[in-house]
Amino acid sequence: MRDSFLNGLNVFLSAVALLTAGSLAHRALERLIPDAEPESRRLLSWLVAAVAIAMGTLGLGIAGGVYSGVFLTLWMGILAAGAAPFIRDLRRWVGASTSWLRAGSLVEKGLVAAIVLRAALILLGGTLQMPYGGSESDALHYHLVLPRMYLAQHSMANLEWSIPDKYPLFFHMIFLAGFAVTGPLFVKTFVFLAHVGSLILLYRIAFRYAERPWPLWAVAVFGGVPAIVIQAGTAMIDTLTLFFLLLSLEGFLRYQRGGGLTALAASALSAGVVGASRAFTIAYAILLAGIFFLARWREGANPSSVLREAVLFLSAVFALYVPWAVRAWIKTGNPVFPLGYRWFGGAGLEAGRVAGLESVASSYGVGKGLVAALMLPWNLTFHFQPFDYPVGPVFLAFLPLLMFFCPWKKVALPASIAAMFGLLWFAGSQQTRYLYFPLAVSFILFAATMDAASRQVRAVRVVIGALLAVSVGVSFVQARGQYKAGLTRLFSGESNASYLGRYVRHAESLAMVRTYTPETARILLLDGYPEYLFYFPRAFVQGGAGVLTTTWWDARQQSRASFSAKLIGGGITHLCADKSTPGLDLYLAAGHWTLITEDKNYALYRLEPR
Amino acid sequence: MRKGHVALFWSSITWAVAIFVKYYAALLAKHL
Repeated sequence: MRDSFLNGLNVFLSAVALLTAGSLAHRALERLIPDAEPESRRLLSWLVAAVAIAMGTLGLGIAGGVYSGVFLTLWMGILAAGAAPFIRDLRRWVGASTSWLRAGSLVEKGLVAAIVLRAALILLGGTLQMPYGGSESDALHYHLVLPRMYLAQHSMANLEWSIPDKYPLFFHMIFLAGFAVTGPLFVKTFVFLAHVGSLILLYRIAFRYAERPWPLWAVAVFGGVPAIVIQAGTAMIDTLTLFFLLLSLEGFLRYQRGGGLTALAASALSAGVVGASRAFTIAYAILLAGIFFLARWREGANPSSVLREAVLFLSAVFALYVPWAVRAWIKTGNPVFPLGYRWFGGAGLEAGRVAGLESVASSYGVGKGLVAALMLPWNLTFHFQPFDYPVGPVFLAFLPLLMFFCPWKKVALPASIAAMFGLLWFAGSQQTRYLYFPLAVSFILFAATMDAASRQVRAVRVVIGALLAVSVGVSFVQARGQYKAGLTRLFSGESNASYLGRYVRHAESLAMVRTYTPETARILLLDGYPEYLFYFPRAFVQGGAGVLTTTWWDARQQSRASFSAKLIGGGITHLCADKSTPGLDLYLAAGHWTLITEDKNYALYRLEPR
Repeated sequence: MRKGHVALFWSSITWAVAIFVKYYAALLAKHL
C-alpha cells in the first residue's frame, strides 16, 4: 500500500502546487488590474501562471539550470507566497459550487454525481498510476522522455537525435518544472486538472447557448465519450490542447460581452499556448483568430478596431511561438521543423525520414474524398479503428436532430468553429485525439439543439434525457479498460515496480539491460518505436531507426569511419538493438562490438576499445 | 411546432434510438 499512498500524496501535492500557482497569479492580477472584469481576470490568471512557469523553465533550460533543487525552491516559493490566496480561492470555489448545486434540479444533481464518480475513477485508476504505455505509449516514447533527458543533462542542449526536441514545447516546459520535483505523476495531475477544467469550461460556454439542465447533459455525455476518457488519466497532451482551446473560446466570448482587454488577452494567450505546444498547432491559433475576428466584423464592430484586436491577438500568439521557432531555426536551420522540409530543409532530416513522418500521420483515417467526408460520422461511430480512439454513438445519433432543430443563428460562432476545425482535421491527420476540440464544441451545439427542441415539444425532455442517461451509464462500462488495471493495483497494494513489470512493453528486456550493463553505461538504442523509452534504465541516445529520431545517430546516413568516430566521441559504451532493425549490420560494422547477451527481441553489445 | 416539424422531430428521435441500439448491441455482443 506504500506506493499507492505515495502516488496519492504526489498527485495531491502536484494539484495543490498547480492550483496555487494559478491563485498566486490571480492575486497579482487583482493588484495590477483592479478594475478588470473579475471573471476575465480569473481566466487570464491561469494563462499568466502557465506562461510564467513555461517561459521560466525554458529560460532555465537554455541557461543550463535544470536541477531538481532549483525547481523545488521555486515551487516552495510559489506555495509559500500563494498559500493565502489559494485557501481563499478554495473557499470561494467550494461555496460557489455548493450554492450552484443547491439550485439544481434532481436530474442535475444526478448528473453531477455521475461526473464526479467518473472523475474519481479516472483519478484513482489512471492519474494515480505510473504510466505504462497502452493508450499513453506516446507519453513513454516522447512526452515524458524530453523532461527526463533535460533533467538528466541539466539543460535543453545536445539532444540532436530527437525530432520532438525541436518542436514548440510549451506544455513540456510545465511538465519539466514539476517532473523535476515529483516525477511523471505531476504530468498526469496536470492533464487530469485540464480534463476537469475542460468540462467546467464546456459547461460555462454551453450555458450561454442553452438553459439548465442541457449544458450539464452536454458535459456529462461529452465527459463519457470514450476518446476523452482514454486520455484524461494519462500523461498525453491532447487534453491540454483541448483545455486551452476552450479557454481561448471562453475568453473571446467574454470579450464579446464586455470583458475588455483582459478577456482578449486571456483568449489570445490561450491560443498562443496551443500554438506553442506542438509542431502544427500554430495553425489552430491562426484559425481561431480568423473565426473570432470574422465574427466581430459580422456583428458590426468597427473594421479598424477589429483589425487592431486581431493584430493584438496574433501578436500575443506569436510572442509565445517565436522563441520556439528561433530555437528550431538555430538547431536545425528550419523554424517550423519538421514541417516545411521542402522549403527550409532541416538538420537531421532527409527526404525519406520526412516521408516516413508524413506516412505515419496520413496512415490514420479513411481518406479525403467526398464519399469519405459524407460517411465520416458513420465511420467514426461504427468503424473507428482507423481513427484510433472510439467516439461513441451520441454524435451520430443526434446528428439529424442537430441538423433540423439547431438554432443556427444563435450558435453561429461555435458552429463555425466546429465546422472549420472539423475541416482542418479532415484535411490533416485523421486521429480522434486531434478531433477533441471540434467534438467538444459540437456538444455545445447539441445543448442548444436540445434546449430549442424541448421548448417546442415538452415530451422531448424525457425522451432525450432517457437516451442521454443510457449513454452516460454505458460510458462507465465502456471506459472501464482505462481504470480497471489501475484500480485493481490500487486496492491490491501492488508496488509500482511490479505493476510496471507486468504492463510496460518489453519490461524483461529492460531488466536485461539493467543486469548486464554498468550504471555508467551510455547506450546507443536501436528500436523503431520504443514504447518503454521513458523507463530505459541507462543513459542513452536513440539511433536513426526510430520514428521520431534524426539522422544524427544513423549509421545508414554516414560513412563507416565517421560513424565510428562519432561512437567514440559520443562516449557510447554499449549498443542495445531490436534484432529486426533495418541496417543493423551497418551499426555493427562501425565498431568492434562484443555480444553480451540477447533475448528474443533485443541483442546487447559492448563497444570494445580498438 | 408545425406538423412537419413534429414528424421530423420524431424521425430524428427514431434515428437516435436506432443508432443507440445498433451501437450498444454490438458492444454487448463483443463482451458476452
